[in-house]
Amino acid sequence: MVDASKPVGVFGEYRSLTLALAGGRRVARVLAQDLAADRTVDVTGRVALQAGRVTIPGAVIAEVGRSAQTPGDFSRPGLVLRLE
Amino acid sequence: MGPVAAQRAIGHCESDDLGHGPGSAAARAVTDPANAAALASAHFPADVAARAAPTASPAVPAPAKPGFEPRADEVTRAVRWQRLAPAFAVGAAATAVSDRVLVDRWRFAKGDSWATWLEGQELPQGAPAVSARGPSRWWTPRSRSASSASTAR
Repeated sequence: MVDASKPVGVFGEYRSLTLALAGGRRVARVLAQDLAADRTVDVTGRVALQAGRVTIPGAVIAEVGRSAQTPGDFSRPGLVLRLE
Repeated sequence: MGPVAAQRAIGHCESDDLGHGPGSAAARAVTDPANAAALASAHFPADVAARAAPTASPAVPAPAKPGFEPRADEVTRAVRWQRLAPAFAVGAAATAVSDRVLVDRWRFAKGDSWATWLEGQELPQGAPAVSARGPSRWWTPRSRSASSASTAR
């Protein structure tokens, strides 16, 4: 269970990632940022939001988490999420 | 770590070894200190943005030999994540570990490693498919859902 008031780090490849939120909190906005990048992406429209739960498709993690990938680098995705 | 508890904690978090590639060829900005200002103006609160601000780092070295996969970006990401989530002691927070193990293998050839005694041997290395440090507490799913990932402390 995740404390939605704090940043969440996600590393690696997933089919999907479901975060259960402490207190059944409802999230209205999800921001993501490749930890190697310098800008944030609003992915709210690409995730499934339910009361107390956020599901992020693996494709979103792979895309955002490698958005600043150096050409030729094979690193797996790594991003930080902000739940608002 | 009990594998049953871990399985419950991250039952829905499926991390397959899906293969990999170079990903998108977006321009790399992390090595440019000038981007710190851009990051500070991003959507994240100022304190988070400042801690994740890029620092100068050396250029990515060329692969040591064909077949090696350069993975310098994940080091950059890990270092920057530590600014948001400083290291904490083992046992200081809950840790969830999947009981599903993914295994990779490498046959060591001459020049691969300082561990010359491994030359000619193929070694398997296994690790949990998913692990999570710092979830606020255990959660037992009623269905196939669970929490995962690392939460900054």
